[in-house]
Amino acid sequence: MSAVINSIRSQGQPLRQAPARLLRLVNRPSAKPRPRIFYAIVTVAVVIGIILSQILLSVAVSAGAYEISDLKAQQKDLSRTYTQVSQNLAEVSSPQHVAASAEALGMVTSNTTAYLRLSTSKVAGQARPATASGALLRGANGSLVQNILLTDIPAGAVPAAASRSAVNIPGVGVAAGTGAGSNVTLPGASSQTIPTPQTR
Amino acid sequence: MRPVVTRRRIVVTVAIITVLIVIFGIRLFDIQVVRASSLNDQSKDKMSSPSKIFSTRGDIVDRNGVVLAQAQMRYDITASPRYAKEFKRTVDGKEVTVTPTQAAVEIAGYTKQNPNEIIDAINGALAENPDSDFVYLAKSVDLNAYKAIRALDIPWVYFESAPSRIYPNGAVAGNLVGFVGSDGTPLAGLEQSEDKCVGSVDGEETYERGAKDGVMIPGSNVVTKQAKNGGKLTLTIDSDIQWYTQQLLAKQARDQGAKWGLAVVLEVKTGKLVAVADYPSVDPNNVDGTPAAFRGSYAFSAPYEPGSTMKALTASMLLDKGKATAKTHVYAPFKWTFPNGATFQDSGYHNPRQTLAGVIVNSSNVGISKLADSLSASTRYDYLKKYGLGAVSNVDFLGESTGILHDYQKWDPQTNYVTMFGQGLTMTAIQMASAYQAIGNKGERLPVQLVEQCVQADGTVVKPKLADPVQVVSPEAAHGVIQLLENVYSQGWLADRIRVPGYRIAAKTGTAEQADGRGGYSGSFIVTLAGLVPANDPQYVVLTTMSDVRVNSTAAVAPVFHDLSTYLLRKARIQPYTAGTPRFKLYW
Repeated sequence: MSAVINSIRSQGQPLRQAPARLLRLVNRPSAKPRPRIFYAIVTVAVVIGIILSQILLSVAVSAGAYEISDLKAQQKDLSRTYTQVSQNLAEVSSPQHVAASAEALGMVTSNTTAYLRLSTSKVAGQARPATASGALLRGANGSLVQNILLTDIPAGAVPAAASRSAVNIPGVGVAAGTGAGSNVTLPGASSQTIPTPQTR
Repeated sequence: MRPVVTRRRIVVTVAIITVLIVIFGIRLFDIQVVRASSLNDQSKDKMSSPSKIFSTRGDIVDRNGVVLAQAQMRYDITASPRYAKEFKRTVDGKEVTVTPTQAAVEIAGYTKQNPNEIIDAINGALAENPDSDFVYLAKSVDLNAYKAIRALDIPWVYFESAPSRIYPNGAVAGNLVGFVGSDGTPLAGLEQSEDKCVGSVDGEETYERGAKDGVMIPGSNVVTKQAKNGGKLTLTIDSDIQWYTQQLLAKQARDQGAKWGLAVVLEVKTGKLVAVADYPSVDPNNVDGTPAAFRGSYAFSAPYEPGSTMKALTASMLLDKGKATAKTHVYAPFKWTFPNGATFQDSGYHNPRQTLAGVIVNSSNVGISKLADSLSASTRYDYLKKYGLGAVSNVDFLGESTGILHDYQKWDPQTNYVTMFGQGLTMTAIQMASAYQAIGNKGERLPVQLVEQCVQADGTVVKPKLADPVQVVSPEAAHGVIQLLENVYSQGWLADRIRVPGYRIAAKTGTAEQADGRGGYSGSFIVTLAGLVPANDPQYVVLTTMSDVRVNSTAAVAPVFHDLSTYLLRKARIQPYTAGTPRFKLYW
């Protein structure tokens, strides 16, 4: 058998072409071929869809970019304000200012020290009333520990610093209007005397 | 359709696609690899902009966290002079023209300048270069001024961030903290010496921004260099005590007309400095307000001949070597000449038959010299080294001095004796305070500490290196010296001025004539009071010194010593205690 085939091939006859052609000629079973236009529409629609969603996506992203940029600016502003306000606080709580304010209220540093021992009901140490001459600062210009930051803040005045820091804080409703500029009245500050406690 | 045609089409299509792919591939390779760097360079300026990430220099705080130095953002206001022309602004729906002069007046209102300065700056820049694009209008304006000027919306005005430094407590510890220059360079004090802790490094980032509005394009942000924030430096100083000490010192120094003065409070049990006051001292917010010589700390940098406060140290050597007790007799007349020719006298006449206690209370130079003659020069030299003389303290403050302690072999006969009572050698106030700390701490000298710790930005805690404690004298000898100094407090000539009722205190006076710089003495004095508060259980070394005072005696510093001791006793809530106060016989 193989000897026969070999002999036929060696003669150069195209043995396989005949049956292949025969198969092509058979009609397909499908009776209704789909129109080519359908594929075209699907393809174009998908492409348009992709482009549209791409555009929408980038619009969304860039809208976000503006929002991020706005929020960042706001955050920067807020942190600047925070720093400024906390520095103002540090300035008014500096010992020079506290001491000057206390003396403005008529308070004097004591230079004696004494304790009342409850177990023996005796005074340990020696208590003497503080005198005006013993004041550490002696007057408005008595603070000898310089602080140029306090130049604009008069002794006893918290509000001066508060109004200096009157910064409008965007997005935060509380701040400015209420605290800033409003006078913080210390008890007895107006009359320059030490308040007398009520005794009952 | 014939199959042959179809196949030819396919071949052609594939060939075209292949050629296109190859062309695109070559182009891609060319752009991405071959010309990548030059194209990147070209695009950088057009699309993306590099910008600085500002780092924050670290805070310097006291032992309770009170801020002494803090970073602060300031703003420089600049302008483009060639565009400084009039512009239109909409006010209440109407267009108004604003001239450069009007704009300058508006700006000057917020920067507190004279408007002419701004106009001159612009005109000056234009005169130099008609196309000038840059000039400073105002430097270092604060946030409120910056916001107000920004709101003016002047098209030719620009802003630059200028990181700077603020010292909320002013001169409180300004002598120690130091300051930075306007360009941010640390120039003095701890700002400079601890720059490796608080110093920061700015970073850099680039991002692409929209051409029209400059809004950053998301995802285009590249940090090219990370910013490194500074660490937080905590000092051992208590800012309240520091302020009180400075105020008290300055008040008394003014009253006394002192050239300079200082006061030191050192914790006996820890070796930590609580207050180091200098007069005059610098407000780091206003460096120019203080003469250059007084912008640091004399307590660290200015050694002087301590005078009789040294006698406490000499007495401790005698007690430690068992050469004397408080009751040891010595014949000490007003003036004495030793066999080797050294001769000197006391400051005042007294009964010559003194005990060691009498020598200390009367501050007799002759007495202490005759007693300490039993100690060899090398022995005393070794003790002085152990007390910390001739070397900088553990703080190693910027510009700290070692003082002068010559080798004992170079002491001539006179120097050999005068070193016993604090002349012929120099030391800083910190060194003397450290020596007294040893006496208060059972003879053990602890390393002096000014920096508590540094907390770096990443949270790492760095503690300063501390030298080992040195046992200078025995606890018994140290106790004996405290008792001697208690007698100065209770029986000395200043007793009435420094007494704090209810408390035991140890104190020693010192009045030293100052060298005139030409090998002689000048007739002006440095007066010192040094002591331990309270004496029964020492908590603080209190030392105060003034130079060139009117009264030429330690009475000048007595109020500082008294008030500061009282304040410390009250502040630390130390109970009054007088039991066991020693009272020695001064004469025989």
